[in-house]
Amino acid sequence: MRDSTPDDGVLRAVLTAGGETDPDEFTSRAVTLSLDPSPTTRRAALFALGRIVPLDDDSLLARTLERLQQAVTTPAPEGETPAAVETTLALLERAPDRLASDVEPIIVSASDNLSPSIRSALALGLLRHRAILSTNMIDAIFSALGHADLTELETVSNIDLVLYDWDVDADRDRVCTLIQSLLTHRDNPLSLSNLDNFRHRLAEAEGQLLGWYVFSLLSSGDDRLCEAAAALLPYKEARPGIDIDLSATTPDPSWIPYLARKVLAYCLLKKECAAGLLLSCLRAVTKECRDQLESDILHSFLFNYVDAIQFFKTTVDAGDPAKRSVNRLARRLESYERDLDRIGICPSFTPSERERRLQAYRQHDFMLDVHKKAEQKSIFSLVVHKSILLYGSASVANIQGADGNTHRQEMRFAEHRHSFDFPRLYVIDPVGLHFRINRFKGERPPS
Amino acid sequence: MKLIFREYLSSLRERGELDVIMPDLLSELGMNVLSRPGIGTRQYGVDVAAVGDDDAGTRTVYLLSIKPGNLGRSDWSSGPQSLRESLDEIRDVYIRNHIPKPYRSCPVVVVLCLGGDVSEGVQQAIVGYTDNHTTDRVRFETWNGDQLASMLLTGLLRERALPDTWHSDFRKCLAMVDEPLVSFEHFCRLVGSVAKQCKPSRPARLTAVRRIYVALWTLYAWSRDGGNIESAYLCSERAALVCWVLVKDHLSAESKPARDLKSSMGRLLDLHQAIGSDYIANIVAPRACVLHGLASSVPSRESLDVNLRLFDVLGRIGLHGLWQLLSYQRLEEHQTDEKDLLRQELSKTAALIVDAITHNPILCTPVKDSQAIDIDIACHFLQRVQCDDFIQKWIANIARTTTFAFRTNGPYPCMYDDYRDLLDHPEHTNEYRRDATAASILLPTLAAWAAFTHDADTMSHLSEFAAGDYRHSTLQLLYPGSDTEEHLYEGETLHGLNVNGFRIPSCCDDMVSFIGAEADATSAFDSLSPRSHGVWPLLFLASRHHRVPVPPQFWPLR
Repeated sequence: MRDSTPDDGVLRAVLTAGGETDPDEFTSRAVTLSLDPSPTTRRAALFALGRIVPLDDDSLLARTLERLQQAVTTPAPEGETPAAVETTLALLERAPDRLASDVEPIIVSASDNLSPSIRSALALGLLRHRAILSTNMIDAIFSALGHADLTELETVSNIDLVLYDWDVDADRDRVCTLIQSLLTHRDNPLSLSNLDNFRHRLAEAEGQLLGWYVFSLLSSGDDRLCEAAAALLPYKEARPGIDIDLSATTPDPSWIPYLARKVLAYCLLKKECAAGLLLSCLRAVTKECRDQLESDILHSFLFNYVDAIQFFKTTVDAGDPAKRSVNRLARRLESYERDLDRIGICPSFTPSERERRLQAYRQHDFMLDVHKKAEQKSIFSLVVHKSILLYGSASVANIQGADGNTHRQEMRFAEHRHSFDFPRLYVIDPVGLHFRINRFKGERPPS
Repeated sequence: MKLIFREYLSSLRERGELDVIMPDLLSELGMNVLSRPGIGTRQYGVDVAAVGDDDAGTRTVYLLSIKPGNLGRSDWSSGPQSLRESLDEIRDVYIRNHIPKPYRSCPVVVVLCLGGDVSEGVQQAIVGYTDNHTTDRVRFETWNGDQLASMLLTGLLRERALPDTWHSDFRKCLAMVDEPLVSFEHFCRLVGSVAKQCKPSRPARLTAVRRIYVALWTLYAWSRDGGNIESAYLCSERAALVCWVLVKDHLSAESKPARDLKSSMGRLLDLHQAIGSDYIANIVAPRACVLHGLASSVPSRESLDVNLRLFDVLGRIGLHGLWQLLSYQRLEEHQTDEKDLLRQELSKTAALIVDAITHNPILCTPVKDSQAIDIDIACHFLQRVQCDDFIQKWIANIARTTTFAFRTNGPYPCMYDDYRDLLDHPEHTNEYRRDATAASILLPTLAAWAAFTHDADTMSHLSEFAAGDYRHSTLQLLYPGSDTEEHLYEGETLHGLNVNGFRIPSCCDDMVSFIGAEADATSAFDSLSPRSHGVWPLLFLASRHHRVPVPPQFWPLR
């Protein structure tokens, strides 16, 4: 049979079919063939082994488990260990309760292997058999998956799908650790855009959960994780609950100003979310660090978005630990704004007509470019036909229906606008702002 | 044109405005001015006294009592400052005792000189007064704004003798005060044509200077009413420089036209300073004391506009301070009250610069290499009023942010000056970055001030940066050359001695020695006319206006 089957497909089929009629015989043969010199034969035999071994024959089951353990612990040709992992999980699927303790060492051993193909098998296994895996197996697989890098496209895709379905709330520590490992891999680390499904999952999650992940990533101080934290946040959304209770999650109060500065450094462009995160910091900060924190928030956040104080004001109630800080900040900001309102705009400082014209041209070109890029990226550009309508506030189209008649359809135009707030200091002190952000980004976690 | 001048004359409301114009006007009408308005009180009701021929050709003494704006009932007869009181004093005291001997036999015309009009309610009172007091020798005339405007056009400006384009340029200059650069462009054409068509004689130059002075005054009054004196400020700088070219070779002479030239030039510089003071007091000072006040006042969403405007303002404050310093230096030892007053003003100006920089951190991040000129002017002033500590901190800050911006490809200082180039700055390629910083006066200027303030850390930081990331850049300093005097005031940029190819030493003393050695080797600086005629801030003005580095010889080398 070996000589006539260079492809392991036939062998797999024969062993699997034979296992249906004479499991003892074919299991014994599969065990023997799994030690065959031909890697193809070994892979096929291993594949069949987990699927045909009779569960009521303790001796054969023990031989099978022993062989699988051997396959994942001893150096083997490429493809053999993944096949062993796959067949082990298939075996577990057949009697999860009974075999969990027997299979666990095999999976744990396989997880120690740093081969990409094994990670791929483990990721697939996790995706398919998550419900029957023990905690130890899950821990081991998560740990193994943390070594995946950008070159392992299939594994990454499976990890993303696993995380999308995972209970990212109850199992937040484990998920966060995995994310941190994936994003900080030494060579070819992932970015959050590679985990799009996971990101969407969190984007739909409750504010407190999103806030927890953001702060957890920010607290690492690692630039890549902090960028990922910012990427988790949506634009223009003040999600209730994102202002999480940091006193319960932060190891030491001295971390609070540090976390606030990370929020300012990485999440500044997302005004609403940043306000929520900063409020968490204001609530948890100690008396000693409060002045410094208020100063950081005033100079690096509220001076950029003077209207953000409204968020603070409306969110804190009378008993809120941040109430006094918010009041102080509001007073200082009010005084700042009052002074600026008093002096107003200076007509003598107006740029010249030529300068204004050049700005307008540049702005126009920029917007055109943005529009084009947005259109190229839009899913609509793939599925719909584009027509330019020069006049009118509604469009009429005659559409032929299934009944063969033409139906007149009138559709009113709707305006679609998108706007975002720009940090004020980017205009009145761009290098200073950049310098400060850079300093905050480079700040190391408190020892 | 007459309407424009009438409007202008009626808008001169303060002392030191209408009364300063009148002597020039009378001179140009062929009269001999006997006395000019002094600071403080009038001379027994007389603001200006002159002698000249009347319509009939009789030698007549004209005694002007000047009242800016319209004449209402309260201006006419209530209180010691009223016009009626002045006329009484003229009759009772001045005519009896103060007319110079040679003219005591001449008929006297007492002139009620008004910038605006006589209001209806006072008209009869004036007629009654003048009828009652007219004698064979003394008679009264009223020169209102309308008449003064005619006199300006026919006398001082000699409308028909003006270049053809004068009227249109002048009208456009006034009409466009809300677009200051357009207004300035027309003003430059206007003063350029006046200067170009001016004959080389001293009287002709005097007339040209006076014309420019009146044009500037009119523009200033006009733009002041319009709430935007930007154009007036720019034009005052240009006027000062153009007129300096007209007068500088005649200032040493002792003849009357030469003396008149000197005093006219002095008045023009006073007007420039007045416009500067107005600009600083009303536009800059209220904003400088507020956090982000100046930066937030710029009506633009481009940080480039904020940056350019604020460094420009900084240069203006520095220049204003240097003019104040000159005034202070000119005071005699015994003028202690004036000295105290000016000392306070100097402190205020220094505080203004400190506030402007402290409250607007963008002033630590130049985006144009040539903003070194504004930084330099501000430092010159601060250094002369003993603010070395602040200079040290500021320069250290600029050095730090400049290197940071360069290394992170932020808006680092580039050598481009055109707005279009600056809008696109910075592009994110190494080749662009090298090109944009191929030459620099900023780094040597920063290093010089770090050296003068003994900031060894900044000095070594700059030295390291210049020898490392910035080593492709040709660092340079511009010393005045033998051709500088000829070209500096007219805005020609190709003059002077460019010292380049040097490296910034890491030691403060070495930097000072290097700058000093070159300063010793060139002598053109000493012969620059503003220095020899005691108006050295004019050199700073020329540097600021024409964007040429300030001569290093001004640095505190010893």
